[in-house]
Amino acid sequence: MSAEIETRSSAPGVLHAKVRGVIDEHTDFSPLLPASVATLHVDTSEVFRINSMGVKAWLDWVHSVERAGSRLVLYDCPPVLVGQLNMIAGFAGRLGRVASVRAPWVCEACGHGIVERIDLTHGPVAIPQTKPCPRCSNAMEFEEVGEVYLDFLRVPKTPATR
Amino acid sequence: MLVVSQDTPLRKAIARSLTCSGVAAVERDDAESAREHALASSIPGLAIVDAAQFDRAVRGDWNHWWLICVTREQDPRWFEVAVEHDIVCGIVGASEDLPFPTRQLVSVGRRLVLRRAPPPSAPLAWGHLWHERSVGDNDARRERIDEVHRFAEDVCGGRMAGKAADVTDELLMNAMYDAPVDGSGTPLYAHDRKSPVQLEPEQRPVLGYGADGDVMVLTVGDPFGRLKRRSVFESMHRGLTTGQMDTSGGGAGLGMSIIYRNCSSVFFDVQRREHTQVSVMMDLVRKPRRGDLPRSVLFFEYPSRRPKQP
Repeated sequence: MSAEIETRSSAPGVLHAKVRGVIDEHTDFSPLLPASVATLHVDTSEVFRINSMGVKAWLDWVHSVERAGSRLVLYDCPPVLVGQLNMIAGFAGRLGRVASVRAPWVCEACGHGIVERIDLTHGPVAIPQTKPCPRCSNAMEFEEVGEVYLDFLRVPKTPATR
Repeated sequence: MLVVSQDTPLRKAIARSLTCSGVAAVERDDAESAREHALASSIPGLAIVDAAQFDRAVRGDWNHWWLICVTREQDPRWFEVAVEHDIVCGIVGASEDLPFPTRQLVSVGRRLVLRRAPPPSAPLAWGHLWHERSVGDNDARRERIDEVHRFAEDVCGGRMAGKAADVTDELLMNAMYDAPVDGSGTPLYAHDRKSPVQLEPEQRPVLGYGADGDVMVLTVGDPFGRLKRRSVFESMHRGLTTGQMDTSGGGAGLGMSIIYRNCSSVFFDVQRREHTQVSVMMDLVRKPRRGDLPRSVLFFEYPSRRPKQP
């Protein structure tokens, strides 16, 4: 089933939204294209997957947000979206901002996994490669490639479509 | 077959794998003498060349031989070289941090001997349970993606399950929307990915999947045989470098790079205008954080097995 989108307005010109599920070719971003919104805050923590056509739908939406002059702020991007931020040109838009991401660690000793929020409001941060497992106290390892996980903050790709 | 490397242990290991597949592997430590061997040969073959010599090798005349690059690093440049040079049919990732890609090289050799794709489940150890499903419409596609997700979750946990679902989604999308053509070769569904497709039984792709504890294999075969070597390497190169979409084919042009990023190796076996089989291997042992290790991408094309029309 395609992603669901919930919205609520907290103040004039400010819209908060949450995207849940799988972003694919059928995802309807129209609830996130309201008129006269200056800032759009989108919680993506419950996006489970995004396929290639979902990336296309997402980019079309991001371009529409930019054309409307709205500012996009993404929160709690899960690893599936961080992968796209690193891979796809202009995934958050030219003016968009990623306020936080989610980062996964796994314990090889007991198999326990955790996902923690990384705050980026003050710029790039160093992600610890290991941390103690809350279940067995062995070292948990960061499940992604630590050196490049936040590359999208440093190496912007040029957005373009052929 | 030729194996070209100045790294003797690497050269010997590749030659040993090829010998196990039943081909005669000739070892050379420099590309020029290997090329002389190829030019003197009456039958076109395949040369597996170390990345250290690949740039030089690919610029020479190989008299219809195919070349495969063996690299220890994930370097998008090799994809660019593959786009530019029609004789490149693959890139094999071999790193000190990876188990040596014995399974891949044995199957490369066997492909050359038999001139056809192996059975889809061939990379798995005997004893595994193999699942095959024909997929005819979008509801079936979604059900199969969920089915693979559940299977992978049972075998190896949540993160890998998401990756397996991503790969299945892209493989089926390509086979259901890009591959089908009418009698004149015109794409039937590629232009509109939002419209539901209802494939006739003879048009339907077959999804296969299974795992043996070390490796999970996902394959999708379609009965059209239209996939092109250049478009595979081009798409992966674009995904690894600029990350730009290519919407000229109706899709996003990102599917191949999503497959690449989630696999340890992918084989494309194409019987032109008859059958395409894409086989993706996902390493269940490799730590996910080592996603920067080089993957293997190999593309093979075989002659038609249909009898010629009188």
